[in-house]
Amino acid sequence: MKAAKAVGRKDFIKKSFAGAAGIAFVGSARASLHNTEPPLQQSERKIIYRTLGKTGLKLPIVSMGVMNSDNPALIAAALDNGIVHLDTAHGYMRGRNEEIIGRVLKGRPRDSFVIATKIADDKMESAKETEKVFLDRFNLSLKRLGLDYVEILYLHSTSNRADTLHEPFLNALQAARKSGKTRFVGVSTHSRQPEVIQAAIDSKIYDVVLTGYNFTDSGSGVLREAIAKAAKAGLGIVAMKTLGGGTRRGVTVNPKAALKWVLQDTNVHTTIPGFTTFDQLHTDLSVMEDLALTREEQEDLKLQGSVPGLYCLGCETCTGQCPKNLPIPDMMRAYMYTYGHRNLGAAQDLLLSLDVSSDPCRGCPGCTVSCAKGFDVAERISDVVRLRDVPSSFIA
Amino acid sequence: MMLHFKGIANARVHRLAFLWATGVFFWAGCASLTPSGRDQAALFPRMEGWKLLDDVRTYTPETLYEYINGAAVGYLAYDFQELHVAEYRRKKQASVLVEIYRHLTPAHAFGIYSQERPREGPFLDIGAQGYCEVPLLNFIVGEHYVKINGAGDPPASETLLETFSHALVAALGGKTGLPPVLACFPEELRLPDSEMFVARNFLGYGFLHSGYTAEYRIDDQYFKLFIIEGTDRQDCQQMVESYAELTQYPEVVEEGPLHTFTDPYHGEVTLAWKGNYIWGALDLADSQERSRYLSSIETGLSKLQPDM
Repeated sequence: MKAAKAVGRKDFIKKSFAGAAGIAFVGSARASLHNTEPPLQQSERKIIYRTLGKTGLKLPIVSMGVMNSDNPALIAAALDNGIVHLDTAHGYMRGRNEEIIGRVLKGRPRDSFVIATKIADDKMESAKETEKVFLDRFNLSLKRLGLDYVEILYLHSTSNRADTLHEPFLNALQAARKSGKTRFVGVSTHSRQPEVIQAAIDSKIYDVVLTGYNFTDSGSGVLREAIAKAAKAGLGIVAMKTLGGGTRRGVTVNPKAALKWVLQDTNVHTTIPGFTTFDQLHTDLSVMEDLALTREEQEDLKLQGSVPGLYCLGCETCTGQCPKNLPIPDMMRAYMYTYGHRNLGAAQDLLLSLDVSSDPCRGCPGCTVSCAKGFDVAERISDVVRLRDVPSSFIA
Repeated sequence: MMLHFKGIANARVHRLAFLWATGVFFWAGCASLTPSGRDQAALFPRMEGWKLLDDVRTYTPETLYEYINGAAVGYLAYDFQELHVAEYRRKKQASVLVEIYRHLTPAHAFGIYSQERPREGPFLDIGAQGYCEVPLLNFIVGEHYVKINGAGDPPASETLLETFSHALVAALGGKTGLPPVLACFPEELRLPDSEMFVARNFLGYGFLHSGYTAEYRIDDQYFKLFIIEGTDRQDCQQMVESYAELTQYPEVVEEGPLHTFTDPYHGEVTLAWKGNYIWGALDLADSQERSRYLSSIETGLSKLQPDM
């Protein structure tokens, strides 16, 4: 590999996999990445490892989500600098992502990396066809990667219990595992994660859960609890979307702080941040060795976490909590139409269809509604309800 | 009586003034919430026999993440500006969903499109370029990347998708071409439709910002050619100076000749720069071939910008 090697590959593997206790000591001569980041000369690196649940795989806490990188040199640099686990998917860049990884892996010892890929949860006309299409796609992924097997095969991006437990998908996953083309199977989820995670636990089939998880989930603790339950059940937990989108309504997220926040939860075994520059790689590598949040990082997270986003999950946990029995999910939807979709017409139409006054919270001493996403429900209601009184001609 | 009417009139004026003020404050509070959903509908052409549903949704860089999840990162990397989503319906069952992504420039729209298009054609002469995989048809036109999804019941035919696409091209300003710089990549040994545009962090370096690449293959060996289009000569000079500092190869700042040096991550790199262009080769071992290919690029660029 042409990239400057901070750690000899064989040395790295030998040393890192010796770190069964959780921390491995790895000699490093990190390459000069950029003039803004001076190299760390021959420092001793203490990479933190965690075991991926019942798979027994010991992984550094920082892995690489390759989705947005079409730069083979960057992937090679990640592997050469201590990252072991690469996460991709059949659909990323229409397969080019897997091909690029395949080229980078060529010539590397098979036990020096851990690969995960994902196949979409597309349902065909029959169960048999669903299984076949799933497995055909997986075989194509292996071919692109140039591998006989991967460590983890995920069912890609499910958002409910039914899809997570859909029998043809489970059959296909088990067939792939039985054939030896994947060592472990998992499910990935971006939305309604607690429901999907519970289904994964109940299935007794999944080994790993890949879930969106970041500091914006700190509000209700529902997801944190689901992750804890899954980890206790022996599932490996991989966290993605650790930056929460990179910006929160214009506030740029501190990537190092966000990554550390996720990893403070020891039930998370590894993370897959997606970096696209050598500088970003450098930043993430530093988190691999030091999880302590500085005061400044804590302040950044507080600021960023105070912006919980615009989108109501529609989970309806708020239903029935309001003493005035206001249709809160609908009003949160109107708020989302207004500020998220910028569709004032739809928001006003929705508000006018609801049986609420222009001052619906009048008389309430304080709001007792607890939103799963941490929205300040009373504030949002008083904000959006003003739209009822704006002449339609201002909006149309 | 007059006074009474005047009083009513005054009350109305006051009420209207109040409502107007409420509206103004609301709009101010919404900060740049234009166009409204009803105006957004104007982006979507009328299609005979189809009803455009009122619920046109718009996503911004701050909210895209909540519509397409992690895939948003890729779009944001291509300076995504906004997305409008609308649905057409016919006889309840049939549905066509149209997504119009607007990026900063046509190059950015091409960039994200080139990440997602199939490796091989056929490509369609729609807008600047498009492709159809029933029930999907995607194309770019100007700074827009448009996705049409006809996965209703029954699914849309290719003919229907093309009808929609032509109407959308017209609504979005008419036919456009691919970024002109792409024509400067030599055709010989080039993998078909391998041209890409990377909007930032080119080669993994923030200081190189954006660049175009095309992939080539000799036997089992792949190599890449690239072109960086700077804003002006000074911009290019700053880029090569940063690169010189990184690689400890100061000669690269000299404008005109080919420079070959070792990049810590990419290995041997050959590049030249002139005016507002930097061009080069990665992974091409044969020095004669490098010279030939890079000379061809220079010829193409000088046609594009004669005073380069």
